[in-house]
Amino acid sequence: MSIKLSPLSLSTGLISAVMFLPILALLYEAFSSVLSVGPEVADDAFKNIAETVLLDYIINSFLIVTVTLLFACLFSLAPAWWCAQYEFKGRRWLQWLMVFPLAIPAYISAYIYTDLLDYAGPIQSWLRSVFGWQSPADYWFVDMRTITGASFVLALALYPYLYLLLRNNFAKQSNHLAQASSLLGATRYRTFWRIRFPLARPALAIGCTLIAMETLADFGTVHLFAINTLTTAIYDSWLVYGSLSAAAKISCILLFAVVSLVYLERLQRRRQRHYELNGHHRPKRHAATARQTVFIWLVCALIIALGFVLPVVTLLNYTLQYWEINWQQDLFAHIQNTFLLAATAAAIATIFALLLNVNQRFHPSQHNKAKLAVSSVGYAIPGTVLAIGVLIPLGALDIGLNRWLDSLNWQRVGLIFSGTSFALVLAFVIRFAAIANGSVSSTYAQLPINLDHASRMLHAGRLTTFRKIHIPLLTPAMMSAFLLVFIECVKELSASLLLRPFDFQTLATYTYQYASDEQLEQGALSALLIIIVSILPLLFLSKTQKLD
Amino acid sequence: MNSKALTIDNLAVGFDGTDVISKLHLEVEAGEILCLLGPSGGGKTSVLKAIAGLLDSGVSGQIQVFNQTVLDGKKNIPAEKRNIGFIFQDYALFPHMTVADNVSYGISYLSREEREKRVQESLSLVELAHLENRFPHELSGGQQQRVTVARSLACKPKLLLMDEPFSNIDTQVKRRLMTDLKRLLKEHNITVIFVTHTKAEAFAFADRVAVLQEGKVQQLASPQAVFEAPTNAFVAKFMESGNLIACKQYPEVWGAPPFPEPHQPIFDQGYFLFVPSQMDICLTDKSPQRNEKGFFEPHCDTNAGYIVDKQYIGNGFEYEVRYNGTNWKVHQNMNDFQINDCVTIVYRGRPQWIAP
Repeated sequence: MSIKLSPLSLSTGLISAVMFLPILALLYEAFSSVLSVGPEVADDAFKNIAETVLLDYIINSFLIVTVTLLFACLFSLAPAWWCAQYEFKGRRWLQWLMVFPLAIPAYISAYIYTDLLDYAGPIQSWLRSVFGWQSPADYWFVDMRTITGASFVLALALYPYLYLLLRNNFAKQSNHLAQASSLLGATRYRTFWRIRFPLARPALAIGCTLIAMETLADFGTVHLFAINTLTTAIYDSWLVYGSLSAAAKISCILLFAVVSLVYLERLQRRRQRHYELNGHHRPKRHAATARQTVFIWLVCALIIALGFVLPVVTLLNYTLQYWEINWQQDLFAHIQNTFLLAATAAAIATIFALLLNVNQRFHPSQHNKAKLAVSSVGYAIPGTVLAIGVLIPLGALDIGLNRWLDSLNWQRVGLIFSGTSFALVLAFVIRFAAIANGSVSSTYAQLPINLDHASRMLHAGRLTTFRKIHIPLLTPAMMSAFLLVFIECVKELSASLLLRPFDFQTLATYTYQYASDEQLEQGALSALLIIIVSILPLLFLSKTQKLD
Repeated sequence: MNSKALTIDNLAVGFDGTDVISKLHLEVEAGEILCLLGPSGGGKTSVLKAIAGLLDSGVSGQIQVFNQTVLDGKKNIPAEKRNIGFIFQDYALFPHMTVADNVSYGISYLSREEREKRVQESLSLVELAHLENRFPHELSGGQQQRVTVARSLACKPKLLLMDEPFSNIDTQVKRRLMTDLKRLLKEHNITVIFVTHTKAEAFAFADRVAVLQEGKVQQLASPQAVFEAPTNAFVAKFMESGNLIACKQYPEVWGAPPFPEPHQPIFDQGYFLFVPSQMDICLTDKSPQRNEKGFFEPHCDTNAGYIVDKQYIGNGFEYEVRYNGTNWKVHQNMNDFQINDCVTIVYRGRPQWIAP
């Protein structure tokens, strides 16, 4: 099959190559020293880590993922079932409020819970004053700075992924299956465990893999709690040991884990599509009794309070208490930096998504489909790993450029790629291109190809068809792509910490800096700003889906 | 002057190494309405797309539209330059444009005054001038269909292609729409090729019918000829022309076979076609009896069969008679027979010999 080399084809080929570059760079950096021989390339940093703490890091990562998943199941399974199966007062509001904790970055919750539950925190102080305890030896209390504590906080921030998938699955399951089960003599309990729950297994698996990926990628929470995981190891390898090679090798280990999870997720998605074929007759919700309604509200309200209300109220309290410190001139510069950076990355990601999708629409083929898929891989790469993957080629490019300028006896330009916002924009575009691609792709999929054919039959060429038919119909999708990427960029922390230029802060790094210095009170306003921006898509979703 | 609107010669279409159409030959007269009829997957839509120029690859052969070659070994004129109208099964109305904008889409090269005039003319033809400011989602299925017709007619196409144009319209509206549309097309002398898998639509709308199977034309004739004189077993089965009884040779009881024309091959294997409306059934004396399991079971004479099914078909009844190991469909006006009755079958006239 011949591949036409049109400007569109070439540009989309280039885009997908750039999107895949970090992975290639990581693999090259990780394996070049392994394949080469000679003492000059020996990687002592990685050797030391591998011989001493790497196994602990891997075990810690595995434990955090496991315990986070258990907590996430605890928070999401019952509420998802209740919201899908029962009709009760305020159900529509409750089912959306359950998603709100997604807007709270885990490291912010982590700080707030530590502050609240620490020895010097208000709860322990109050308990000591009530019971007359004098020292920690007098009583036992929850220690947040543990794997369980970190997992609890991560699960509070991530459980909505699982909740949403399970709720949709339960709501779409065919009513006829449950009726058939009842007619065959099964009780509601048996019907749930034998019919409903097995049908929800793919959704459970997808939700769990998404949470596992996010947990593996987390840096803020584990770093704040001083728990060593693979992400902190990558961070330390680069920033403490200064070994890009060690960072690349550990990144490859993490990447392998993530790729396995992505494979599992894809496998389950295929199965879910198969299961969804049964869902022609949606279940009618059972009316909940007054007692059931109170119980459901109590449980769900507790989860929402822990995951959303408590952090927000605490941040509001901090902001009002420390208003003078929060309201400083620096903050405006950081807001400006963040919004400019996020808007640039979002605009580029949206344009790239449009080009890739248009190419596939007009020239559908396997290799154009592959370009789209390759351009979306960044979403699966943890921010820390991606940062290392971006640093490697950009660093090499900077070094090459400066050497070339030296050879011409011209003045050096410095690290114009790896040491400026360019690296950060590139990392954001690669990391969140999948969101823009998905948004444009899903809308394109809904536009019948006959619209294009009809346009052509009415004497319009491809460019006219694109201008007059595609652009007007894709505008909402492009706007939501821009908005979603923008929001993700504002929230992003891991890559920003590694790639931000000297003396450059985003709202996320600014907030995290205060959190890690145990002074979040002073960065509470910026944390609130991140939360407000993160809530936007939830409000948008609730409006478009009419709360149902 | 050649009055051919369309000449297709040796057309082949393939996707992913599979031939959907091979060596297709077809000629359509100017002003004619030709129906491509056949089962799903028979290559009907692919033929339309090849004519329209919507297939960018995998197509070969020669297509001439009003003596202009649009496809041959050297050129494949793009769809937008063929001046062929196309009505899609899902109408493909642009959802973000009003009815008037949809209709004027293909005539943007005209001046504004001319364009507005043409839009009004086209919408008037389909009696929708009063809905020009509506959006497609504000129209009924029948109205949307009329807008697509107006949109195509506004471009004054030489040839109009229609892909299952009536499949999304309910039966009540369909009949009226087909009558109106056929009159309109005939008035404007527009050549039409339309695709359907429903014989009723073909009978109501087409001047000639081409029955397609696996990308090959099995028969090209008037609707009546295709139904009453199918050329082979596939056409007879698809058109449900009657009872097809496989025979290795002509049974003597039915007299001499139709004398073959000198140029016709003499088949040693084929079918007899018995038209249900030319068959009669008569009751025999025997009535059904219970067998050892308690079920009624006909015990008919060796020369008789028994009724296994009965359906009301509007102007009478269709009886299905099990006779000598074969099920026969017989149409009768009377409601005199019941399931399991023992009957004999009488055929008025001579069965038609059908090639395999």
